[in-house]
Amino acid sequence: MSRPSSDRDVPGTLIGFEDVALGYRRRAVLSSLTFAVHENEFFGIVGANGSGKTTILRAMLGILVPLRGRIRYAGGATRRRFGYVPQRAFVDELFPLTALDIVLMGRYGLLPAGRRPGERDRRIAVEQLAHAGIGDLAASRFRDLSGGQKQRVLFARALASEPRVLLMDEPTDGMDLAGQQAILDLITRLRSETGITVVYVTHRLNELANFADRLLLLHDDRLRVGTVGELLTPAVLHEMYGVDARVERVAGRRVIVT
Amino acid sequence: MSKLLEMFQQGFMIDVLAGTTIVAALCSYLGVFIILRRAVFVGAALAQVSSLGVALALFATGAIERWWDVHLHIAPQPMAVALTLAAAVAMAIQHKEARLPRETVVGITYVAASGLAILVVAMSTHAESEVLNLLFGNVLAIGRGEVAALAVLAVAVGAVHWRFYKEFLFVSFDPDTATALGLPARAWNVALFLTIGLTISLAIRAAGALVVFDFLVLPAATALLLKGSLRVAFTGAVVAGVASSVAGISISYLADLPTGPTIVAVSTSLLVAVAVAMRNG
Repeated sequence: MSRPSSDRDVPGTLIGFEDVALGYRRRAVLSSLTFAVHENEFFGIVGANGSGKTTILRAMLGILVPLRGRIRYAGGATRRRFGYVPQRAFVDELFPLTALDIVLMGRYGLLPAGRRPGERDRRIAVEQLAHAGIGDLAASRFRDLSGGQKQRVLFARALASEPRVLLMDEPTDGMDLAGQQAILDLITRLRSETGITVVYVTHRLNELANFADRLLLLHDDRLRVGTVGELLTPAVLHEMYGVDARVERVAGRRVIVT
Repeated sequence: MSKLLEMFQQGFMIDVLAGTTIVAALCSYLGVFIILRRAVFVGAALAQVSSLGVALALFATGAIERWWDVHLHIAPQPMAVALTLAAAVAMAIQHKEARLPRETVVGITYVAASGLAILVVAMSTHAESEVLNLLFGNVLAIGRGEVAALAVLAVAVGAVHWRFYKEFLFVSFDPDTATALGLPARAWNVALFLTIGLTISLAIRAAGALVVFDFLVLPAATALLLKGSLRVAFTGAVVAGVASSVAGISISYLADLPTGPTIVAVSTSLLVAVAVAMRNG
């Protein structure tokens, strides 16, 4: 890995990776990861399939334990509160669960072991379904929903956990342009309403060019962390991807043209 | 009809019905988790491990007596339970990054436990019929004591599942998100598999491997064919399991057929009937 950022001591750091190595079966696939996610920012992790971006996300979530180094959470691990939107393809459709059943699971982490969700939990789950624009699908079975509707259910579940950080893994994968835009608009609206921190994993750099505050770019053995303005330049894109790319503005929005 | 009434007037048949019905209800409920987790052969493997535990206990008792001339009775049931629970924990915590897929490990466990059990029985000094009865159970041999033990098991497992249903459901459906939200997914997985292992090891002594495996798979599969919620699946599985149990025992009594296979035939017929009805409906 080259050029790790050194912003771990910036005030407002929410999640700090300190010289972290990640991998499977004791074999590191990513090493020397040193970067931070700051409070209230939209942090994008961009890389091709197999580049390790989901591995980083899993480590942030505590699903994957680092082989080396340390991941620090503001206020300690016990005070972290995540909302997680996994890849839709990884959600098991064999379970005959309704949209409401799944959104209610977002409340489970807030309840003590052995306590079932109550009226308040149900109300919050219903509200989040409505917030995600699918309030009328509460009783529908998850497996019968369209791809976009399923994504919104997972989004609503993440919000039902009242998160400080919303972590999303390829939330628009397999969706058409309208579906992608609808999800990004939902996130934008949520951020303007709550100022929530967002960590967003995707393989499409253009998708985040106009939404993210900072980016972590992963490609082969190269890694760069910086603001969108710092990274979306012809020089950095050439260094990372070996292509001659321009960043142009169309109707006030950044577009990467190769 | 009079023969059916006669069946209900016989004390031992009431015990058989009660014991089998408890096993049916419990295994059918757990079967929904087993099928949804795609762990059907975990049930079969645990059943074989349980049999291996019985065989080892019998062998050890005989070997100690033969070699050291000391009569030390090693109880088969606790040995079977201990070995089954150990295997259940190992299967629950098998790491995602393990070199072999879980289904392969389950297959290895099944074959190894089956083969070892037969080898150990062959070396045992006990009478073959006694060993086979202990290994594979016999529905018609269920007595009052076993009914009471099964009732205690059902109440204990039922209470644990009633209390921790949401945890068992979450770690079965989406263990990664459960972990991300702070649930100790591995510990809950172990707890769920412990209830499954305990049930299998005790139920198999009473009802036999064939009947227990039938109850773990067919009623839940039947219920999951219904286009209902998860609650419908759990309720439907228990109803299908109990119905198969009562109908199977009654038919076997009336027609003088072997009980275990008759129960399997009834639950298979129910599954096929529901599948056809759902396709045509």
